[in-house]
Amino acid sequence: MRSLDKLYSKSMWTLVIILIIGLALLSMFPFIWMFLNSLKSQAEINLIPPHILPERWMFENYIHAWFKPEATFGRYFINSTIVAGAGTLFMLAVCIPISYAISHFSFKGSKWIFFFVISTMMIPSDITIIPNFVTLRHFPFAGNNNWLGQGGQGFYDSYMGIMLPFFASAFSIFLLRQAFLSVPKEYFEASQVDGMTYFRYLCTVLVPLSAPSIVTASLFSFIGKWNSVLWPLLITSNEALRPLQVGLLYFVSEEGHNYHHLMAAATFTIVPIVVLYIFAQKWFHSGAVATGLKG
Amino acid sequence: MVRTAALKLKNRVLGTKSGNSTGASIGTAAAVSAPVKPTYRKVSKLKQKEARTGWMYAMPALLLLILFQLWPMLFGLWISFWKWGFVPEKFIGLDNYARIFLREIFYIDPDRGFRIGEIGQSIIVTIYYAIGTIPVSIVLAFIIAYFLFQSIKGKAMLRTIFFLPFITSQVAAAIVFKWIFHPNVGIANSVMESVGLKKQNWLVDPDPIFSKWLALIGLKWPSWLPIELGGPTYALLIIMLFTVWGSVGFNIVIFLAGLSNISKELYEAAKIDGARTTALIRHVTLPLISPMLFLLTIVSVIGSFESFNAFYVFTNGEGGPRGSTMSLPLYIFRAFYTYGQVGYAAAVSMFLFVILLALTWVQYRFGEKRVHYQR
Repeated sequence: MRSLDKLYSKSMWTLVIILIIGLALLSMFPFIWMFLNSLKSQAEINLIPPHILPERWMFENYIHAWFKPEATFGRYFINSTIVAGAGTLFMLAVCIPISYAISHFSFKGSKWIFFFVISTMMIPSDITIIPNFVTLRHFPFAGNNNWLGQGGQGFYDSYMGIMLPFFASAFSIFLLRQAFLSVPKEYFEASQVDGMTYFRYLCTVLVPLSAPSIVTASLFSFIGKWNSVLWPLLITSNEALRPLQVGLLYFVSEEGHNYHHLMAAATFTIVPIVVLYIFAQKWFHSGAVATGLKG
Repeated sequence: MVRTAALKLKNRVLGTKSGNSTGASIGTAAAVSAPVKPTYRKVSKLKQKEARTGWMYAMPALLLLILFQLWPMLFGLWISFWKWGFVPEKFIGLDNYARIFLREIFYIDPDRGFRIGEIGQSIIVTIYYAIGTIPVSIVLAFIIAYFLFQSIKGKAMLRTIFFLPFITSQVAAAIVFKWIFHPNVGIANSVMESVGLKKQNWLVDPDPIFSKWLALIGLKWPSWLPIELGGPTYALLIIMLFTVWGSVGFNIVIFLAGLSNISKELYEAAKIDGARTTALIRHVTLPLISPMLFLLTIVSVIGSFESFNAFYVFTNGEGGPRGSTMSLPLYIFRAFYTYGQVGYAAAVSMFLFVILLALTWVQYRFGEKRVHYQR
């Protein structure tokens, strides 16, 4: 009976392993296929049945794809790096203080602030898009607008327009609050006794001790901004301001069926995020566990 | 620099020089801070300062959230009562909503009877999409997470492999998927041919799958029944596959976080009692992970009603073939961007918001009872 049990669980285990490996291969297949096809020639990419490996590895596809669009991908990369990088820094600058306030300071209203932040998570992004567009276009004193928000184009067609609505992220605030709460309260009390300023405690104790969660929040924010399509597409019309994903969309409509160029462009838009993730993953996973998503 | 400051403070709290153990600090810390007894006035002054600083620190984020989250709700509601192009034109009261409910969900055609409108079709599309993606994605993620949680070799690599699709840009990934399912030169059709099946027009075939099945047994889709009820088209199925591929990694991360919170003793106790692996999963793991399941279900349902990117990139923003991949957000986007009907688009997004609220409420009402909380 025992041995039958063992055999049963062993065969189950083998089945699961096969399933997992199969799924992993399926999961990777689009990436592998994309990379292999980005190195084929125009003639070879249209062969039926397809070759697995390219006959000649055409690295010039990458050069072509990089320089082909009117504004070039170099420009798109710079735009995306600015929007995602600066946007993430601003996000941290805005979200760390509020998380600190609601996790460490006991004052009337701190509970309500937290409740308000969490409830904004429920508001679907589709609702906010149209009013936010109007708000940014008529932002007072921005982009030649007068104090009533008339006359100019506000933050329409600017980096600020792409970034501003996402400085305050309810998700990041939630994550950072959980992380700050897990730092023992005694440190804070001791720092008060020592006469340390609130700000100094934040910079020298809280932030370093919560590094994994801060990295996690930054990574989520950076990836989200790097990959966002809808908002940048709406708020910009100037080609020189297009971030990567929007540029890629236009590249698709321009290049049409030159799939070897499309594959090359897709590959180099994915690579930076993958590299970033691989570097940050150690912190990222401990940070994700530390969000307090527990039973 | 920063690290040493933190360590110094920690040492002071612990009252030691070595200061490597964080966990044991609580008792000692209380002893250190206890002798200092500020007078009552000092305390109230300190409290005031704390409140002032607290509000000051919270203010920037609060203002931004009010301006870009709360205000849009009210402002969007206001816009939805207007005929509003790029500038406000005319206050028309409930006309935008009348259009939604009287024409766009369903209508009665004098010749053909009951027909489904564009919003009605979007809702049906979203229901197919939710049913086709959420269970598959959650079940797969659970199996993989359960496996990855056991100590096995190559765990970190597998985790990365499954997570990569989630962080990949959907625009770039959709290019690859569209290429895989290209009707002439895609590898999907090559595979179909090599196993002896017919080639398909994947992304452009407008016939839904139920009507295809009927055709297989020689029947025709009845003309009195709206064709939108004939199931998802291949294009929608491919978008579902794409979504499952992209979302499994995220669900795995959530499940792994949940699994690591289950105490080892529970498993060992069950094992001593002679429970098999399947019994362990059913009676220990699943109940204890149910809060995660609940969270993922709610998030996924909201996610499917809000999904835009995948639908946009697969169909170049047109929702084709024949509107069979037009999600509600894509419909709103088109009303706004392509047709410039800002007021109407705002009204539809309010409608979407009400649907989401109702769905979330229903899930809470019926889901919460089945969730097992550890506390």
